[in-house]
Amino acid sequence: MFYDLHTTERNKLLTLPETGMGYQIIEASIQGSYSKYKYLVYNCELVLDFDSSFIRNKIEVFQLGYLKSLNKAQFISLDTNTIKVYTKSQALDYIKGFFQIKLMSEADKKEKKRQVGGKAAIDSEKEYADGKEIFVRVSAFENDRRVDLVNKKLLDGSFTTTEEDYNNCVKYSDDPVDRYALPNDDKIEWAFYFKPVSKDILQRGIVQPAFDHVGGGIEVYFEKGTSNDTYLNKTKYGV
Amino acid sequence: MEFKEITLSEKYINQLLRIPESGMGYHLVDVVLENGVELKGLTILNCEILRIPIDVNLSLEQIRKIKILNK
Repeated sequence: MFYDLHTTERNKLLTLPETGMGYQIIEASIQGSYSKYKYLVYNCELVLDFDSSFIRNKIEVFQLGYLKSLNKAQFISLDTNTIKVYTKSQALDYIKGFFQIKLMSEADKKEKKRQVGGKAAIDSEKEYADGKEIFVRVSAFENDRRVDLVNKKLLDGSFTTTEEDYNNCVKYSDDPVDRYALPNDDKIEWAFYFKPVSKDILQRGIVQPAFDHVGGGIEVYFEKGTSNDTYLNKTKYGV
Repeated sequence: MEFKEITLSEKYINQLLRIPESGMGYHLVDVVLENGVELKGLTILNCEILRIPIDVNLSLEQIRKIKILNK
């Protein structure tokens, strides 16, 4: 769950140091209770439970947007006398241990040709396909439903990666679930190939961290899918 | 966290096929139950497999609506 704070708690947090830029990881009791819980607070006002539900709630906040999340949040009353802010070093061991977050060094990212920084595809500029470039959709499912086998195309609102990024993933023995930050740990078994035509529009970006995965692969979003007869073939992953 | 999987009915599969993915091969959703409870931030794979925490008891008949979390 996520919450909003009353003015008293907000003002208290403003007097306390941040854990990182724009956020505080805190431990506090709810008013009237002795039990202490951990929270992550954005901008001294938007509070997320810092437990096993954190990743899920963070995704929801990201999807909704900050202001909508704040409007939707219920109030939580914290005992301001119990609020303790964690420094980054104090929080780091907790974060690593609790969430078992995969951290990847810059050297590892470079070795596996993952990207650093950058925007998600859906936030990137639209461009036309050049009619020659090939894109690959990786999947655990042989019957991937976003692949329209009747019209031989990719459905509207679907993602792929580039053939180059897919080849790098295979060549450098990278983990596609981590590279493309996929929500399930099912083994990726299939690769579906597409060659959009020059009227097909796409957006390129970098896979953002999600589901405890690092991301950093290249993702390509086709808002309107691809044209008929742009589906080429499927192969087993890595073949 | 451990998950279990529920295969959705054709009605929801067809709905999801017409809606943009949240990422390659999945949708992020909230599921509204007939009793009004909302299960937030769940994942549907391949437009057909709903992943729910293993300790949640849920049958298809309990689902009133699936809401897509839009970016």
